[in-house]
Parts: sequence; C-alpha cells; structure tokens
Amino acid sequence: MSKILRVNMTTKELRVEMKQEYDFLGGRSLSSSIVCDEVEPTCEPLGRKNKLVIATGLLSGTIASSAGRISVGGKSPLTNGIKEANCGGVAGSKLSKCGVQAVIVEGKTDDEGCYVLVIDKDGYKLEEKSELKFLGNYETIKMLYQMYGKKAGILCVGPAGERGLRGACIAASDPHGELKFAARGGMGAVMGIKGLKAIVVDDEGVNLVSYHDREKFMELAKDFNLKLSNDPKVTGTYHNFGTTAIVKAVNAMGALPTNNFRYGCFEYADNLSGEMMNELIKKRGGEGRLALSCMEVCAIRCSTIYPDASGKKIVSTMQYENIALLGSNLGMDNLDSVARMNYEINDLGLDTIETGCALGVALDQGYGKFGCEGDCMALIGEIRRNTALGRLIGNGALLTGQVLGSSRIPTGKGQGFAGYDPRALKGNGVTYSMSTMGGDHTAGNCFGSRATVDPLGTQNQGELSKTLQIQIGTLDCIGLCMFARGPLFADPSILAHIVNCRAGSSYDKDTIWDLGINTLKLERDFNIKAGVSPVHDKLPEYLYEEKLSPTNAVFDLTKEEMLKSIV
Amino acid sequence: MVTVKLNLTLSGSLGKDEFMLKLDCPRTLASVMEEIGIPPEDAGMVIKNKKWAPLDCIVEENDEVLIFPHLEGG
Repeated sequence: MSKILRVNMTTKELRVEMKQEYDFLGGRSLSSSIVCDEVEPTCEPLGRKNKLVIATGLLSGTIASSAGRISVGGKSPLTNGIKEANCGGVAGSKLSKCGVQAVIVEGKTDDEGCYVLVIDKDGYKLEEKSELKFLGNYETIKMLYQMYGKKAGILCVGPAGERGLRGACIAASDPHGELKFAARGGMGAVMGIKGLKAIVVDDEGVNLVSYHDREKFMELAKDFNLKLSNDPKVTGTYHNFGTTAIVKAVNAMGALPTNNFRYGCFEYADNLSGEMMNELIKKRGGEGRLALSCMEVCAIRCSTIYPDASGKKIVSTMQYENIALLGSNLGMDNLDSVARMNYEINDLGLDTIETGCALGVALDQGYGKFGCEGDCMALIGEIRRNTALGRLIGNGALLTGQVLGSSRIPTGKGQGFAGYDPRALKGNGVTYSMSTMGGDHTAGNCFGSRATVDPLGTQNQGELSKTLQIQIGTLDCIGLCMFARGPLFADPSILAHIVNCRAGSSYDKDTIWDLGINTLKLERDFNIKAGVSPVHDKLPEYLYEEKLSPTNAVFDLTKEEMLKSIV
Repeated sequence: MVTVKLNLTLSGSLGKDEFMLKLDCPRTLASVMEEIGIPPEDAGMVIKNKKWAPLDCIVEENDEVLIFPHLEGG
C-alpha cells in the first residue's frame, strides 16, 4: 500500500491515506497519476483547485546510485497542461525512509501565513514561520538548517514562488547544503501561492524502506553501482566537466542558443565550455569543487562549485542549461557573469532556463544589450524589487514576449526552450512541441550519441523523440537520474530486476518501459482535456521561416513526422 | 591535409587536441582515428566541416573533423 500524506492548505488539516491503486508506481508515474486523478484539467493553475504532488521514486531511499530524485507534479502555470519536474537533493530519499511515497498539497491558505511542513519520525505538522516570508532561497535554507538541523532534507520556494511568478521553481537541498532545482513548468509558483514555503524532512531514527527481496536487491544494486562507477562517460566526463561538457559540441553542431535564439553558434563558446570551467575551478582553488554528488548515493557526481578569482564560491552548480540560456543566449562571453546571474536567479527561486529565455526576449526588444551583465543584472533586480517589468520577466518568456511586442518567443506550449535550438536539433523540436511537457529537453533530449539520426534531417525525428520520451519517462518513474542510463539501457533487464526486488513488481526487459508509456498516455489525456493538445502541439512560427546560422536550418518537419512521436 | 580536433576526454588521452594528417585517398573516420591512436568506439559525435556527420563518415583532404566522446545532454 502506498502511504500518501495529504496537506490541505486552506484548512491546515493533515491526513495520511493508504492507497493500493498506486502500488508499483513511483516518481513521475505516481505524481502524474495523482494529478490526473485529482486535478480538474481546466482549473486555474495558481488557484485553489490545482494540487502540488511530490512523489518519491521506486528506488528512493535505497543504496542504488543516482535513484533519489524527487518528482514534483501539478498543472503548470506556464503550459496550462500537466507538468512533472524532478531533481536530486536529499529530500526524496529521506521521505522514503520516513515511509511516505507522496505528499499532496491542496487548497490555498486564506491568511498571509508562511508555512513549513515538517515530516519526521514523530509524524507530520504544519508550522507557521513568518520570519521566512519572501526570503531568498539561500537565506531560507540557512534558517531552516538552524531551526531543524543540518541533516534535514529541504524543499523550498523563494520569493518568486511566493509571489506566484510562473517561472518559479522548487529548490532542494543536497548533501553538501547546496541547492538543486525542480526547475521547469512553474511548480514553485504552485507551491508558493498555496502558502507553503518549505517542506522539511528529517529521517533521523527512522528507515521504513521495504524490499520484496532485500538480499537480491542489495546484490543487484551493488553491481549496478559498480557498473556506473566504471563507466568512462561517468568517470571521464561527468567527474571532470559535469553537464557543461557539451557546450562545445552543441555549438559545433550549430544548436547553441545565441542572442535570443537568433544564431546557433556563439563566437565565445570556448570561454563558456566545460574545459574552461574545469580549468578555472582547478586554477582558482579555494571553495571550488568538481565531481560532487547531488544525492545521498551517486556515482555520477556531476555537480560543481564554481568560485570567483579569489576562490570564493559564486554558485553551485554550474550546468550546461544555465550556461546556454544565461550565457550564449544573452551574449555573455565569460563564466563569471553566468555564475553571478545564476546565483541571483537561484536565490529568487526562478528557473534559470525560463528566466534566461525571458531575459533574451527582453534584450531583443531593446531592454538592454546582449553581452552586458549589468543590463541583465538590472532586469533581475527588477524581479527582486517586484516591479511590473520584473514580474513580467519572472512570469516567463511567453508573457514577456507578448507584452513587449516580440514575435520571436522561444517557447513550446508556453514554456521556454532548453539549451538546444530546435532548428539545428530537430528531434528536440519534436519533444518541445509534441511531448506532454512542452519546451523541456528533459522530456526526451535528442542530443547525444545517436549516430543514426542526422539532427538536421527530416526523417526519423518523431520516432527518436518518442523512444527517448519513453526511456527517460521510465527513469523519471523510477527516480533515476538520466545520466545513469548507460548500463541500464545496455541491459534493461537490470533495471527491471532491481525494481522488482524493491517493489515486488514483475517487470521484464520489455515491460519495464510500460512505466513510461502508461505515464505518457495519462499525461497526454490530461493535456487534451485541458485544451493544450493537440492545439498547441507546434513551435512558434518564426522557427519555420527564419534561417538559423551557420547551418541555415529551419524547422521543416512534416506533421506526419511529428505525429510519430505520440505514444 | 585533414585537421582532426579532439575534445574533452579524447584529447586528454593523448595529451594533444589537434592533429594534421595527410590523406592519400578518402578514408573512413575509424581508420583516421586508429592512425592517431584513438579507438574508434570512443567517438560519440563527429562534426565534419561544421556539420554533424555519422560515425561511419568518409574523411577527405581539406576536411576539418571535430571528434567528441560519448555525450548526453542534461
């Protein structure tokens, strides 16, 4: 039986429910199932009827590497469809150890209160903490550590979430006290507008993770962890460069968003590359770090701490998407500028991708100069001061572009594109437009070593996106990091067996993908009922007409090709 | 001459990131990689003359080839 904690923010009532129908579901399959069961598809995303669902993965709380990702679901204030965002951090694992598979946050506080949900061995309680109201994420985490101890796992929102800005994200504390983010889709606004500032999970003295076959699970998990640790992609690439490894490759293929997706190649890309980040972190020393884990157990260790010239930490973690959207997309020619903006946006509790897209649109409309950190910081300052312009940018790229009069707004289903121009990586154009998640690469990223599909070609893109949506969707259900896919996709029976030994399910190498397939079908059905699909299953018009240099590509896939991506 | 540029872990393995090779005739990328001492299976992505190319592409005189290890986007 799945243990669900229901939190009503209107009545402040907390209730535990045991649900058999959610057995064998986890992560995205659990959060999306609950959203589909309980949320009216046409409801106002920032209203009382929407719900925020936080779900643990099927392997969460175990020794399996990279399996502690937490899933956050609800109706997105950006896409108006269903949304699932997931992230690392320690809260997922701790929630599982406390015996909770999901938390459903419903209603909306009628007072001006700022609430913290506390989950520990003694139970559950909602505490009013007005001193946290409108605090930035970094100060919030610091104060929550003081209140509840440094071993607590924390999920929280910054002022952007509390103010209901649609680009807001949910921050999660990691083992080093740094922040990770369930970034996409505005889930931070859904949480913040309900009056819930934070969730604190303390697993001290409790471990309720159960196993169908513990002995076999431990054997399989150790074997998987070893395979992952010995994967050269992990040890060579992620440990040294993190996700920033791909900057030069995306630039070389002409898909690196530059100056509001006007160009696909950035002349200063080398300055923003993984190699440069690695060199600077090593050279500057001090608080700089490479190869940090973002979960309690993780062999991948792609997180970093990026320091300034004196060795003092600027931000953790420097990632590809941040570099693409806050770097080349804004014309920034150095990592220090990106890191400083990244810190500010993290502190406000905004998604760096959405905000990077919104800033790009604003610069394109004359609200600053590309390549000028000062201009961008001034716009970010508007968000912090909660001015009308700041609220506009914090509400995301689409609203920013619509109000400022742009016809070049890089969004899919109302959500800002990730760091791949869809004209030069057409498979991602399919994912941005056709997937249930909108302009979100994590729904099915076609970048990578897929030697058989030309990223500029017009064939097989729909099928590629579909395959990836299923594969990554399945990992999302299990709570696994997508970078753990190497040994798992090489032999999917490992994935099936490990899940079976933990949950008591009976998947095999072929049926394990049903987790992803069934979830995608549910999500699409929700989006159809919400009026999002098929109406908004398309990209902005300019991408079909405006040639992207240096490849001169436009987005020219046929409708038939696009439809092949639907599960 | 053909210019071969190695990236990330590939350059680290040889301590050098750029090679100039004289090709008498068009050759497979795999044979070019073998000549410079990189196992062909270590290549994950190739950009030839500023465009994506399949791993079994043919390399000719005056080509510029960028080779990346296996990468995944995140």
